[in-house]
Amino acid sequence: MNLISILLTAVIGGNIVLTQFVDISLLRNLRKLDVAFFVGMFMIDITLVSGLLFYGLYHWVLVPMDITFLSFIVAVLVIASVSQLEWWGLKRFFPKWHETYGFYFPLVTTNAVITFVLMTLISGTPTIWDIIVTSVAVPLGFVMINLMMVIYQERLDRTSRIPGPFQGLSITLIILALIAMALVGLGGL
Amino acid sequence: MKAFKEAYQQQHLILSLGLGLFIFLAGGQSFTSAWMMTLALFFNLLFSTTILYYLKKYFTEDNKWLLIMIVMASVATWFQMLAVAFLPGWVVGIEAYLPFIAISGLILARVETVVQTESLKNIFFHGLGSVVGFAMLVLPIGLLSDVLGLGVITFASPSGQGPLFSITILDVAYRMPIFLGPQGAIGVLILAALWIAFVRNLRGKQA
Repeated sequence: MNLISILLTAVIGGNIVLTQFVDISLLRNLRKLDVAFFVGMFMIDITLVSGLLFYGLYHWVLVPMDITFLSFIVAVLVIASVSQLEWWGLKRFFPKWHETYGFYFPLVTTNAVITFVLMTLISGTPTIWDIIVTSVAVPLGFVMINLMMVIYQERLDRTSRIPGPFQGLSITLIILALIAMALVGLGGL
Repeated sequence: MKAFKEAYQQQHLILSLGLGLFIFLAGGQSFTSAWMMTLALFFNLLFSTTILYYLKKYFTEDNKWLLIMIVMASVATWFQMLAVAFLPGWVVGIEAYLPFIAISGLILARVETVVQTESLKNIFFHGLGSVVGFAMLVLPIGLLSDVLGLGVITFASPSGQGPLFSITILDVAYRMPIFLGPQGAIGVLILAALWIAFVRNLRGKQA
């Protein structure tokens, strides 16, 4: 597939948060713009590194040994290892960032977006560029939705009078549905 | 029974906080998916917590999460393989989602707390309470998705050879495309929002 079309599909038309509900719960927990941005960047980084590692492991170890049924466990282990390594790196070289954002690391480690990307990478025979673009584009789609949600949420908290039962999760889901409806229209891009 | 009641009530609280939404919404796409997701949740919770209960003496602060994730991922993979082999009719559409139960925040949080604090008997009732709470939220959404999208109440046979029952409710003209195909997520999101608001309103009145 054309690289630009992979990017546009992952970010807009086929955004996995809106079409497959992947890690939709994380959207509720990242309520500040700087946190959402940091976690997003960290997710892109981990997805890219683990995507490349997992692709290599899958094609050079799991397939030749005929143990592809273990791919989910291997994907989880790869993500956990990469995020642990990066956590140590952050602690060692950027202690201030670690102090501020270190709390959110477990959320990234158990992040379904990253696992979902890894599991979809093994279907078909993608090139190295397909892997790189997918690993960047899919979390980018998540980050885009996340930043939009933080902004909407801030505005709703300040200016809107939402009926009691709809406050919190319900209104978040309705906003997501409206974003999904808007993005479906751009799916033909 | 106390453990059952606690877990049943917490399930609603956790969903109102948004944990576990991924599997909740994925299951809400149809009545059969909702049933299968509930079954998967029960199986995963029961086996993971039991295995981890016997492994808890090996837990340290450094290896605890790694152990939990390996066990949960193994159980989820095992269940997915069994489901694809023996229940092909029920896994249609959610096969790819099944392993992701293992990394759902809802389950990870539950497993970690319960395994370290409860007895084996309470762990079972805790799991059962969680599953009943989950089922009461996800099954109505699955049912309504089917009715509004396909216009029928249908339940697939586990072998995949036609539905066990199928009752037509709405004429083709009244079926809503936002519950079908790639746009199906829109309908499920709206339905879930309305259902959660309804449940919260009901619980507020009861309180």
